[in-house]
Amino acid sequence: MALAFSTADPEITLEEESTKKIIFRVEIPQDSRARTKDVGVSLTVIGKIMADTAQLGNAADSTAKLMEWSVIPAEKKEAYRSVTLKVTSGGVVTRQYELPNAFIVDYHEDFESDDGIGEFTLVLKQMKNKLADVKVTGGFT
Amino acid sequence: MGFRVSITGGNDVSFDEGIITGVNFISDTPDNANARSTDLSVIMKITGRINFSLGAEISDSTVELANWALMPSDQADCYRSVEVQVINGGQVVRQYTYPNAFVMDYTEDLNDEEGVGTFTILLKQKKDLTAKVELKGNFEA
Repeated sequence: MALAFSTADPEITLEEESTKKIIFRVEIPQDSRARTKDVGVSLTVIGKIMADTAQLGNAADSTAKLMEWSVIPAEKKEAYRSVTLKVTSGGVVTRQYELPNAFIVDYHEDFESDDGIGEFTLVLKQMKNKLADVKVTGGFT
Repeated sequence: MGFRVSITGGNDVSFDEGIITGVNFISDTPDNANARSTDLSVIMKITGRINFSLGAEISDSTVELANWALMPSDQADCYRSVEVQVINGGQVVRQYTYPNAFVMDYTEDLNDEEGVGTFTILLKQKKDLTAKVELKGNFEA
């Protein structure tokens, strides 16, 4: 299974070997008495931070761009990006998630001395008033 | 994977791979935000060993972290500049610079089994100066 993460405007394309795990979640309050309007969509991406030891000075991956995105203040347009995540399995796109107005809620980079690589965790949300624009499709070649 | 940490602006100390065992970069905004929040915190968690200098051949400078953590907020050097490098195979994978960091949490764990102690320090960039944080990735060591 390959997970291809990309954003548009400004563009970030993560290498497929960088992404390990994704969690797509529809967040609905559990204490409501009937169907609520307070629905949110979040997307968590967990992946690897690698070093290019063959060509020093070159980036082995594009994860540094996620780090830069995570500190962009809210008043800038680039804080919101259009995010597409494609899950490919056996040559078939089994799922495609599109969050056209995604912003970062949390971003972590974790490094341990006993691991050879680092790990990042990116938590995105779709802007709540644009929830209807979220698209989840799948099962096409 | 190695880590180098240098803290300047008070009693200057620096630590290398022999001491630091883990580094976490955290950019944190409220998880319940409907859109990108302006309430952005940039946090750094550093864990390492307290090696205790036998015979005082090399001074154990981790004690300076404890002193920094105890410092009252009316002193100028309770804010210090912290630079953290993550190095892998001769490449600086990440370099984080927090010019106005303060201690949010500090713990030292010692027991009678391990021989050395461990410390965990949680740092935050002063919030009104979050934009001064410098984040760099992928260059030659």
